[in-house]
Amino acid sequence: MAITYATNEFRTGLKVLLDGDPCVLVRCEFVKPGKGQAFTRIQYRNLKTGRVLDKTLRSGDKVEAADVVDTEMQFLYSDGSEWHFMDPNSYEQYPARVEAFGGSEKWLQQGVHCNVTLYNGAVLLVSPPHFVELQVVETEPGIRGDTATGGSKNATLETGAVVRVPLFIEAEETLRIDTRTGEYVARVKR
Amino acid sequence: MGRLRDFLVARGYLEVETPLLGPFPAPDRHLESVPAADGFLHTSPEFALKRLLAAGSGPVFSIARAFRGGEVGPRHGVEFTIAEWYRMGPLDGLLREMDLLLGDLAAAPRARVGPYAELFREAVGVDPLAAPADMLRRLAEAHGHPGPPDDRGGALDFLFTRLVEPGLATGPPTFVTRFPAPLAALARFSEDDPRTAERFEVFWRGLELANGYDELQDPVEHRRRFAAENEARSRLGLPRATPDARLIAALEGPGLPRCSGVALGVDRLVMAVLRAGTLDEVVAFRETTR
Repeated sequence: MAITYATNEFRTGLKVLLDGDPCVLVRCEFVKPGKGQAFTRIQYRNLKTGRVLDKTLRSGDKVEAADVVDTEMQFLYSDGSEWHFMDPNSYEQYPARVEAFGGSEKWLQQGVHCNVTLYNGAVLLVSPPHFVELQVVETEPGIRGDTATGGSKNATLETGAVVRVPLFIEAEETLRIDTRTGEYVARVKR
Repeated sequence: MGRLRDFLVARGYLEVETPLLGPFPAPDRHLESVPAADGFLHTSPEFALKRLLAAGSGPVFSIARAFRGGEVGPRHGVEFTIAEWYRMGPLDGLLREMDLLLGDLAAAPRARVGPYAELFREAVGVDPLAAPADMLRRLAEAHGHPGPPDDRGGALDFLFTRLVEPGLATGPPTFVTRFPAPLAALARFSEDDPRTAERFEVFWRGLELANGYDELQDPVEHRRRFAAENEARSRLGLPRATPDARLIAALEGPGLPRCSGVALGVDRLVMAVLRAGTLDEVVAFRETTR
C-alpha cells in the first residue's frame, strides 16, 4: 500500500507524487470562504524538471508520498558520462547522470560528501555542500589599479570550474566557494 | 475587544453569553462542528442568539470563542474569537453601523458598497445570476478548481475567491452585498429580485472580516434550507446534521422578529488593523491538537 498524505498533513518540504513526478512542496495555504468549501492551494517544485507550479486541492484530498530519500554519500569519481557515489554505510554505489546536478557537478572534488536524493532507488538529485574549498590551478597575475573590471579576474579551480576572484588571488591558493551562488567567499590557509 | 464591547453597549445592545456546548451540529455543509462531551462545540452563537431574539430580548450581542473543525491555516484557526450581534429592522441600518464601527475601532476609511453581481462581472466577465451552471462550472475548472464543483454555489464561491477577492485587497473596506440566491445561507431573498439574497460580507486588506444577513424569518423556508444542506452533505459523503429543534420551535412559536445580524472575526479584524499576514502575529496562543 502506498503511503499517502492528506492536505492537513501538508507542510513545506514534504515530498509527494504530483502529475506522476516526485515533487517537493514549496508553499501550502489553507483557503476557505466563511460559508464555502475549503481548499488547499499549493506551490510545488517538480524534482525532475525543477519547474515550480501551482495547484488547488480539495481540503481532505490525499496525495501519494514520493519514495524519495535523502542520503549523505561520498563522491568517488566521474567517467565523463556518469558520476559515481558511495553510501558510506552500505558501501553500495550509485551512478548519477549530469541532469541530477543542475550545473553543480563542477564543484565536486573526489571524496567530498554530498546530499544525494534517491527516487525509487535511483539518483534524482545531487546537492554539493554549501561551501567547498578548492585550489586555484590557473589565474592571470593581478594588475594593481585596474578598477575597470571591478577589481576581479577569472581563476580556474582544480575541478575545472571558473570563478571570479579578487585581483590579489594567486595560483595554488585554496579558496572557499559558495556553491549556491558560485561565488568566491574567502582565501583558506592550508 | 473592550472598545468593540463599548461600541455595541453604547448603541443599546445587550451583551449575553450563550452555551459553547450543545446537542446539535451546525447545518452548513461546509462547517465541521467539533464533537465534545456527547454533543458539539458551537461554530457561532447564531442559533442561541436567535432563540433569545424570538423570546423578545431586543438587540443582543455575544463575543465568544467558536470552533470549526479542520480549519487550520495562516488565516484560520479551529478555535477563534467571534463577535456576533443582531439589531431590529432591515440590513441598511446594520451596514451603516458596521461602517461606523470600522472607522471607530480600526480607523478605516468609509467603506465602499459593491453588489456581488457587479464585482463578479467586472473581475470574471460573466453574470453570476444569469450564467448557466454548466458554464460557471467549466470556468471554475479552467481556473484550477479540482474536479467539477459540487453545484452552482460551489462554482461561484471558487471563482469569487480566486478572481474577485484579490481585487478587494487594497483600498477601503468593501461591503459585498446582494449575494446570489444559492449562497443565501440564512438570509432572506431580495424583495425586488429573487435571484439575490440580503447577505453581505466585509472585505478589508485581503481578509474576509464579517458576514451578515437580513435574517430569514419563515420557519418553512428554514426547514427547506436545512434539508438542502443535508442533501448536499449526503452527496459529499459528510454526516447529516440534525436541525436544531429548539431553533425551529422558536421560529414557529413566537417567531423571529424582523432583524439583521452579523458575525465578525475578531482576530481577523486585529490582523487587518495591524496589517498582519498571519494569525500567529496577532494571537498569543495557537494550540494544535494533532
